[in-house]
Amino acid sequence: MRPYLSRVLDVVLRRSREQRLTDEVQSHLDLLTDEFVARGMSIAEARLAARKSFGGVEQMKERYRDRRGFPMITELVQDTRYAFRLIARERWFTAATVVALSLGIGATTTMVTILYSMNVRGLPFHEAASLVGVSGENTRAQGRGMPLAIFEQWRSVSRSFEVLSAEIDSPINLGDDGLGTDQLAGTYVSFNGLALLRERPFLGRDFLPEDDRAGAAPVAIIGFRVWTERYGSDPAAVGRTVRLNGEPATIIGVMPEGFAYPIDTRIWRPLAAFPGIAQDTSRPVRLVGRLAHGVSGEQSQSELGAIVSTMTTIPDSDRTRRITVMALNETYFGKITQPVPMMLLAAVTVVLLIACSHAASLLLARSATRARELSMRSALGAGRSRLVRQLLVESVLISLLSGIVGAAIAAGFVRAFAIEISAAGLPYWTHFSFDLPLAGIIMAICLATGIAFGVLPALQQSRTSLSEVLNQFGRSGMTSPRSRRLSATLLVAELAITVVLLSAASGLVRSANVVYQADAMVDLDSLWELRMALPPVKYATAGSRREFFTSLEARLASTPLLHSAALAGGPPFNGRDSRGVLIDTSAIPDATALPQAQVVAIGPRYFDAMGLPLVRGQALEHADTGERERVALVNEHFATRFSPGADPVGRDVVLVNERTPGAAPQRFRIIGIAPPLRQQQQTGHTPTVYVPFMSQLAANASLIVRGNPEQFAAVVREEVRRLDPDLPVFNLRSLALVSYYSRFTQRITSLVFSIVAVMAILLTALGLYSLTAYATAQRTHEIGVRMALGAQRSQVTWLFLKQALTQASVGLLIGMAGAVAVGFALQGLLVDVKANQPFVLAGIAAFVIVVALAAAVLPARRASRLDPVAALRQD
Amino acid sequence: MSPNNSEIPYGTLDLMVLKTLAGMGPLHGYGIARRIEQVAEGALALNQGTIYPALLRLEQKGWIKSDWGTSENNRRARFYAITATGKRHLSAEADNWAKTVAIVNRLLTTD
Repeated sequence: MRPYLSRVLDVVLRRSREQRLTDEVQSHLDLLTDEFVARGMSIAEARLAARKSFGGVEQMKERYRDRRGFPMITELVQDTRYAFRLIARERWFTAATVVALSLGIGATTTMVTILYSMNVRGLPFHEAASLVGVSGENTRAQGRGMPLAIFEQWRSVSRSFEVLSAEIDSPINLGDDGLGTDQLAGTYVSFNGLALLRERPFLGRDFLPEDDRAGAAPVAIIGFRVWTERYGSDPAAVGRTVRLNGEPATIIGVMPEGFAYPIDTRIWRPLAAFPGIAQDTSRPVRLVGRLAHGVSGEQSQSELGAIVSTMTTIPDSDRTRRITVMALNETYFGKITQPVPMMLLAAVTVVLLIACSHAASLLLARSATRARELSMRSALGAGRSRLVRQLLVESVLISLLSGIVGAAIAAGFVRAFAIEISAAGLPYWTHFSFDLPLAGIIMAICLATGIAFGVLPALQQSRTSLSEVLNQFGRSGMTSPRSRRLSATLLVAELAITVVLLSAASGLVRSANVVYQADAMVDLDSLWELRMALPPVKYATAGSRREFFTSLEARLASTPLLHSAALAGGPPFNGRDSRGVLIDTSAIPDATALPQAQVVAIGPRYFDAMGLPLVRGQALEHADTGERERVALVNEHFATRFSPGADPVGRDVVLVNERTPGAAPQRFRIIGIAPPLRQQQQTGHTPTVYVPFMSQLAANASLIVRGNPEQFAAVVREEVRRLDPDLPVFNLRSLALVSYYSRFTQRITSLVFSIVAVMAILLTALGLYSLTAYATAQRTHEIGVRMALGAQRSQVTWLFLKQALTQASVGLLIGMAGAVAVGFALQGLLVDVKANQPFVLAGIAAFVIVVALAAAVLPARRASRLDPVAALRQD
Repeated sequence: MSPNNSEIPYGTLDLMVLKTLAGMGPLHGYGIARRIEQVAEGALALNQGTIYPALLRLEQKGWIKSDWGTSENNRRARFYAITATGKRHLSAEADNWAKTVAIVNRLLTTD
């Protein structure tokens, strides 16, 4: 304790203690002098001898000071003050560095904020860490949901969960006399589904177990906005009788402001109120649970698996399905360690690295002006670590400054991204905003940046010695060859990385563009999708579904406004149904996985509605009546993959649904080649088979309609209501939107890489410019000599251009090797484009050389215009 | 400095200063440095200035205390004196030192 107290006093009494040291040293020297005088020296000799015998006074004082007070803190304050002065004085240098770094920090901060907001920030619920989502392996019938029967078994047997709740999202029509009817996003939840989140209505009551039983009095809880906007914040709204999907029900509660679980739900009902749920035990539901105290996700996962494997009443496919328990947020976003987020993070980190390297070479270029000051400091007793510390304080300060600018840039990007993604349906708790932990992370990035770009130059510059400086830098403003080499190396590295980024970005952009161009073959903006889902109880048999769809089809065909409407299993761009393919044979080979093709069920006039003519052959609806459900169209990819060298038209395709073991293979005769139309997410070159809608009769169907929804939407709803008054038609959206969201990841990836590549090339050009400019400035004298000896202007220009070109070529060469390697890794993400396209690589090479030349030519030509006499006279 | 003058072994300067103060009573920095040089009989390369950081260190630890006084030839000087804790520390460290030296000696003399 004592030393600390003494040190604190030292800080407080700094001046008087400093005086004491000076006095003490002086008295020591006087005593020594006295002694030497007594030995017979002259006063002058004695003083000299005394100094010699005492040793270096200033070095000793510095060591003494290091022991006194808290040197780290005192020095830090000193260094910071000094650094501020320097930054203010060298405005241009500061501006150049801050511009470069703020680009890098801005890009990194944007990505970190987005990923943090989506994947890392905690949920706004009490004890959110124990909230998990339970999902099954993705299947066509269930998606990632679990059948209700399994949920009920789990709920009654499992010990891993405090609460396990099931959810179904489905729009609910809320009607009041006098207020009209609104369709609201609705969610059906188990009675304890809200309590599970530790959320409850702020007005009225939560669901009770009795509400969630078959035949219970129908109830609903409404959201805050419904309460304020529809009912004018009237407390009497609780207890009010309304019509939900046409049935009378009572509002029992209002959720607090801002609550919209899970995405944008405005009204919640008990799961038992979901139409037909009591009879439909295979109905898929989304499961959310709160783990019991001390139970881990893995433990609960194996317990759930064990329970399922003992169930005898469920199909085999359900019993063997893989089950995953993961953090609730991960069920929406996946883990942060997926390839795409990691790739984007890597891309922005590379920009930050380039910015750091750029800032480092600026520091190095400036080292000439600092060398004298630094050697002076070291002569006055500053140790090397002290010098490094001081230089690092400077660079960290600059990076913090850049952090402020970078955060402003990031705020803009993040806002743009938030708007872009808002319609994609993120959980309501995801918001893209800064908070304290995030500010901490960004601060850490800034500090790390400051040290990263400062440390090399600092180590390099602090290796100074007085004699070296005096000898080598007698003339002002010469950088040592060592630091020139270092900045040239950094620049070459920048160039190489830039080339890699340009190539990766070009691949991604070309790929995204190919996909967009392909989608734009159809008139995306005037095509719309509506969806309907036949309730499984009422339409349990294929016969009942056939009856419904046949009458619907008849009405579509006879209603003039809907003549350009067609039934389909689902919208394009988004297909999930892939099946095993056999050609001309029904014999399924054992133990080998069949090659897969995408299967799309389409009704009559499908391609007419899309506005795409068949490549050849005839449309499905034009087949002979008896054949009409046993014919198919295939696309060109299918033809090359499954019928190479032979015309597929006329051959038979057998589709095997491997995920539904009981289902019999279906045989179709190929009667035509379909136009190219992307049916699957991400890739456009999947072999695809179009089969008649009536051959599949799935419960879910889409209606593809061309025209103006203001005109046709009401007509469609009316026609469907005539067939089945209880059947909602929902999810009206344009194919432009469907296409947009199915390309979202691709778009974002290619956009980020493009921005990153542009930043990289800018920074590199800036680096090349400043390096050449410094080189010419340092060699002014030499230029003067050369010109005086008869060198032509062009020769002088070439002198510097040559240097820049050499660096550019070396960087280009290394970069090309890297680009090719990265290209191979990237190929899997690309659609219909080669990552390493020779002419694209050549274009990038040419572009980089041109940029390098342009960046270097300005300073080089300026050098050649020097007046030799003036150049020679310089210092 | 002649090359055969050895540097002060690390950590021993403190011990030397404490012993000097314990044996000689209060002394100023110059006196301490002189005394150590005398005892070393020219076998030690000591920049007299180096004892000041050591004095500060010892004072921060509370082993010595200091005050201004007047030297024998009437110059103002700062006098250092060993404290009670300093004496305790010195005797403990002296024992340690003796043991260490004995061990090193044994190591060096055995083949």
